[in-house]
Amino acid sequence: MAQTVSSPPRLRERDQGPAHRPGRGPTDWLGGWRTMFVACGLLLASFLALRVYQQFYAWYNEAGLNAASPDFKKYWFSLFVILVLLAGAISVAWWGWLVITGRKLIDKPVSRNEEVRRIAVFWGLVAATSLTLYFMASFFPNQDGVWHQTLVRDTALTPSHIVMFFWAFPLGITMTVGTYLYGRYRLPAVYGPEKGFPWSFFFLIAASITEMMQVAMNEWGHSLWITEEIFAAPFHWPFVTYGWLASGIFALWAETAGRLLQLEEQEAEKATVEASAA
Amino acid sequence: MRRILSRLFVVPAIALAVLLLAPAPSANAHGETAQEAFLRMGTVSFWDVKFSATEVEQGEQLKVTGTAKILETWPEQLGEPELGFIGVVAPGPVVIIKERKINGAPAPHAIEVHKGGVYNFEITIAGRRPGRWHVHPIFGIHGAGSLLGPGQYIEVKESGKAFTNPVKLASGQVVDLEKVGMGDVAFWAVVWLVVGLVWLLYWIVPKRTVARLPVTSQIPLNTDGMEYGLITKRDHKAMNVIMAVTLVLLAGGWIYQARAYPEKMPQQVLRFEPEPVAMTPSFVQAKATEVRYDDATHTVTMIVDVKNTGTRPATLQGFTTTTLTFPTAGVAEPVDGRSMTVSPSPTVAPGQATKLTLTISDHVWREERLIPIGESRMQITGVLRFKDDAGAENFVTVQSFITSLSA
Amino acid sequence: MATTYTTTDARPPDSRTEALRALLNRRYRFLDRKWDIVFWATAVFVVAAAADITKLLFAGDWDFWTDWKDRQWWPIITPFAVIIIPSALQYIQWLAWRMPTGATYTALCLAVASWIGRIVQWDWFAGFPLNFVWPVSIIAAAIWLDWVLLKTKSMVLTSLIGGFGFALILWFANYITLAPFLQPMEWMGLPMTVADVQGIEYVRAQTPEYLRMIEHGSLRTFLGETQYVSLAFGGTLAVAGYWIGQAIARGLAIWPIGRYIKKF
Repeated sequence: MAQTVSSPPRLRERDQGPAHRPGRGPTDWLGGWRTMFVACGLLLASFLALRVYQQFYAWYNEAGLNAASPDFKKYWFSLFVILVLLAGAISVAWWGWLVITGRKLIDKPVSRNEEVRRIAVFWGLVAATSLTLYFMASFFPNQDGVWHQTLVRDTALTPSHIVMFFWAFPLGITMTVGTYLYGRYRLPAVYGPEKGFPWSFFFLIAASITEMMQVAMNEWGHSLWITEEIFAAPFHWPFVTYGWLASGIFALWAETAGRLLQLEEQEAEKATVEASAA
Repeated sequence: MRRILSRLFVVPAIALAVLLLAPAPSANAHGETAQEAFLRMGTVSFWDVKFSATEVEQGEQLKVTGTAKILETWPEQLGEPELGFIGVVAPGPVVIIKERKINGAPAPHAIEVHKGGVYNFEITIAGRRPGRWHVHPIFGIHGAGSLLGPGQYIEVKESGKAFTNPVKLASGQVVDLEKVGMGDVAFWAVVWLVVGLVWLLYWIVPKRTVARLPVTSQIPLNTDGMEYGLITKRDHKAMNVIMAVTLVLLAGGWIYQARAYPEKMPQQVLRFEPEPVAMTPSFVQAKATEVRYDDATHTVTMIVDVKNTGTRPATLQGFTTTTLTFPTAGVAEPVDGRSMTVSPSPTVAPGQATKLTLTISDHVWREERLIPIGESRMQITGVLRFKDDAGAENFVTVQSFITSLSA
Repeated sequence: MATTYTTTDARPPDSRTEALRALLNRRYRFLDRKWDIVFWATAVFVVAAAADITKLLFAGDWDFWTDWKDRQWWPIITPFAVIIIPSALQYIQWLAWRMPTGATYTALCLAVASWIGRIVQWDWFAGFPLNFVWPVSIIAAAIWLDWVLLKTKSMVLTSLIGGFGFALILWFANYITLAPFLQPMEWMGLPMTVADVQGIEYVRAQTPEYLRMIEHGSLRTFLGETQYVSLAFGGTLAVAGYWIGQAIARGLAIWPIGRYIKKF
């Protein structure tokens, strides 16, 4: 809160946020909330495009049925490499950008308008994280279920795994860590470094990381130990923990809503001061 | 930054587009080639697998017949085979199973099995989804997983009318198995969605949400906050109404199902141990003593000690392993262009003990990943088929570690 | 909306009550309804995700196929699995917004996610007919759970009364839709249900019939009462599931608010 001042004289325009533009205010759909639409739109487009690709190239034309075949290498192994590299590149680029630009911003005074806008952006990133969690935990697992219960198991790189384990799951880490970095540098009143590491993010990030670790255990088990496909097998239960750990996301909403209410208090105090001065 | 991000998306998008424009591939395996070779060879053997047709219309039937044997060489690490299930594998329910007999008896469900058991199967399937589908017989063994037999492409042609799967209920009524009950499922899914939405929207549309936090954070958990206006008497009344509607719907639904479907019973479990197949008395003994593999020529050479214990000359007809059969050259017609040579002669006289050298040169060893190089047990297993001059047949399982490898 | 706080209590409200009433209706500069919309709309995904993964991995097989929806295991495993996240959300939404909506909200999210899964993956991708792979609906049971909370204002009572009733209503509501699949018919001269025949005819190679965990009968199935003892046990398991949900909400969603790991 030390960074927040009610009428900073030295604020540059970008720190003030785009509130002066009509329809682009901190709580306008095209203002503070725009990030939510863009982030969710990009993620949704990637998941749906991959689902369409699966429809054509996974099953009915048989390219995805046999990991030992040349067609599999062409249609699926190449996609696996592309997705892993892309997820890695996006993460490094986005996290890097958040840290590099964030370091310049963190000690600068910020207006209430701008901080509210950032909270809206933060909620937008939380929304995108939530969307990713849905594709990780419901949309693609449904496909993985029907895949394994219908076809003979075939390496860790089935078409359903490639999209779920190596695109949706890594993006879960990208989104949770990225959202934290956004909060750390741009909402220091809530997630500033001097406060320590928030438990809320600890659980949420742990959710996506344990999920990746569980992939490794799952494939070890299915390769060397468990041969059949009972979806509700105890062996699969550790995957559930991440659905539960993801509850940390509610703490994010609460923490930032608390900050929003603090800003409202400040706004009210300012109005009182102005009224008494008048 | 935006430029970098757009490049990040454009490059893979182009790569994907290139892949999408490439011609459609074909494959005839279902992942079994990824499994370890020695396990595939040492577990179940299939022979005489036949498909009565390769082209059917939707709804038209064909038969898949053959014999599957749980080999005596069943690996100990898989546990003793006790329950099995013979079916077919295809890319999903593109075909449906209309009938299944094992050793002549109707076998709807799993069967009790044992090591060395021989199972003649006859599965009637019908085309469901138009397309060209690779279909295999499959033998699932509890604890081990599913093992595949030789497959065949089946062309399912569009029948010109919507596919239906009529079945007759005990009541005499004929229903379409594709749609039966779906009306009820969809109706109730929508009813509950509507009731649930009414409940939810009652709360979240007229009332603010986040703005309640400053109040709720100051009051105990076990109160409805009526004195502050958080939950009102009107809210209570409205929720009582929705709860009552829910209970009325449940009661109505219960009465409806009892009247609409008066005859019901629990799901059935129909398991049994199939009668043993009548086997020809043994007239030949065989033991593999040596197996060599030469990677340069893709050649497996197997030395087998054979003794004819019968009274008639016996001829080695071929070697079967996993989904492959290699008929003896000069004795039987090649299958899919595959055969093996046997020296000095595939025919063994009565009472004679001899060493036969079986030579199979075929790229399929590598293509199907059947040479267990890099595996924890370098072992080759299969079944030799002998026939005497009266037509009696013996199937003898042989197994050997690979004794020489020039890979 | 602004005047809905009236109460029949004739005593004049004290100043704290007045202050809280005023606070509830306070107008804010930034905190408009968009925040509410965003919360309710975007939490759908994570709630659907948590509810569906919990159902899939604890009770998935019984939910996927009609021939698994039996009277011994289905009524005990499913309510346990599907009450966990509704319980968690019930705590969160009651605590934060004082709305008895958590269970119903979760049930709606789960219904949408389940149907998308079955239609887009089980039907469009794999080609199974929907009448073989339909998911259970937990909405009626969730309404009961929320209603019990509204009436008792107590998580303990809700777990006991609501949890037990949740399992019963879940079974009643879904037995209505299961009924047509329990009709008897013949397959190769053998009596079985429509559900059994679906399980045989629609090829699912990697789920051989011997994996099916359904009632097989036992020497101790007295007076054919499988259904009733399963329902009773299912009710008690739902109570246990309710408290797992409470632990998730209290420990992982609410406890971390404003807490930091000082050294890491």
